[in-house]
Amino acid sequence: MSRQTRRALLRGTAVTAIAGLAGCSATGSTGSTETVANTDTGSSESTATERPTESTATAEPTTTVSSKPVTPAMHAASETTGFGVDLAGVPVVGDADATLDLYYWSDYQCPFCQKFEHRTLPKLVRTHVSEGRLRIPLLQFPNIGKNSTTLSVMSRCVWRQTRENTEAFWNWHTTMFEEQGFPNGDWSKRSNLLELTRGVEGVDADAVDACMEENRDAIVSKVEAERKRGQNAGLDGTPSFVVYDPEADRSADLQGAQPYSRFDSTVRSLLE
Amino acid sequence: MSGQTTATRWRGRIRQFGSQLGRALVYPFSSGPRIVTTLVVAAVTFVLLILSTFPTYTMQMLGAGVQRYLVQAFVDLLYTTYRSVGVVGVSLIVAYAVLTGVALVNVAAQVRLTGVASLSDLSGVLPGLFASGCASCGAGVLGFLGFTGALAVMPFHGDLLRAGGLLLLLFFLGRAGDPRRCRLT
Repeated sequence: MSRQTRRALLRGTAVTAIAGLAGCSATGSTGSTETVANTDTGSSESTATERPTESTATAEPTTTVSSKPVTPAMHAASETTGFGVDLAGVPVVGDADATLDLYYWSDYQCPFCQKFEHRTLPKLVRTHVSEGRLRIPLLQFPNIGKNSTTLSVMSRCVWRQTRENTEAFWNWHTTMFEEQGFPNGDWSKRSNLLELTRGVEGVDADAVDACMEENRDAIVSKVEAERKRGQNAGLDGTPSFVVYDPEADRSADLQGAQPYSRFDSTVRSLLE
Repeated sequence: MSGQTTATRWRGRIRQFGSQLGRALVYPFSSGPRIVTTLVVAAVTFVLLILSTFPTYTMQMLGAGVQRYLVQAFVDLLYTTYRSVGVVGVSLIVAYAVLTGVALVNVAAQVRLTGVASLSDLSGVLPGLFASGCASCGAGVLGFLGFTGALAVMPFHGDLLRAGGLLLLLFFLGRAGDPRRCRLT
């Protein structure tokens, strides 16, 4: 075998090994896609797929938006949206008549969700939400063990008693992310979560406890339906998002705690 | 008597395996260029493993601009990995990346020194690289995709799977030994 052949074989081996490593874990990955939702089935059958480009974002003037904590306006809704999400019992950030929906699937135990809550959500609230372009239904996608489900149920019970005092709900919501520890650690045990809830002004922890006892099964079924809707849309982790334009019945997904610029460009591309 | 003979034989095999593993691990650090190559491969592997913890996120970020978002995607996923699996989990990923560097440098040396005859050795190392790689990075993928529930019921949140991948890689490295001396037939 010549020296050149050996070198070629060597290069091929190295490339194959590295590609194999990357490939073995890339199963199920998808690019950012823009889809048209099939409202008849409620699923996001892709009838036209297109990769959103960054051109819109880069064309926009660079603005500095603060990521300091902000308490957004919230509302309760009861309809099933054009994207097939039942909003009954779901806390929704923003105005009811916002132009677009940003469905936000999260898990209170997920560190990446905490990243989004700290870095990107305040910016979205200060811009697209406050200007009436977006409303954000806070959907649940418990996927880090049974404590995640407990947190999802607790969240819905807190919302039931605070929908007239949404600031109290938001304080509870941010407290859970602030207190987040390692997944399924002591911090996420029900007794500790109730203790944390006791420390949030405007939330009755005993009532939350009773609500969880009485309504757990019904809430778990509702949350499971939310998670399935996300999975049907191709989402496979948290945090995950779908920006949906009800007028045009178009949507685009974003997965992971992407920076504000990515959300901004996706929203603008749907508004065009 | 025969029991003692079997035990002695096993001790000898283990001693030989340890000796070969030691030589396999030392070779990549026996010269400057080899050290640099090993570290570069290890660094690339580490980046790939971290980016693969949330492939859809990585694909979307890099699709929007590699130069613009690569560093941010890596840093964010490294932070998230640490917050999810702690120092032990991240250390296992680092260990796997370094061993990958060692394995690839050894494979390269075998091919360079002995040519096509060393393909039998490659067949001993490469399956281990793939198998342990999938075990090592697969745990991260399970953890951050929709299968986190499966990860939660795994021992030590997938760390055992990663450790298993590392042991597998060490086994194949020990089997191959020093690339300049070891020959599998």
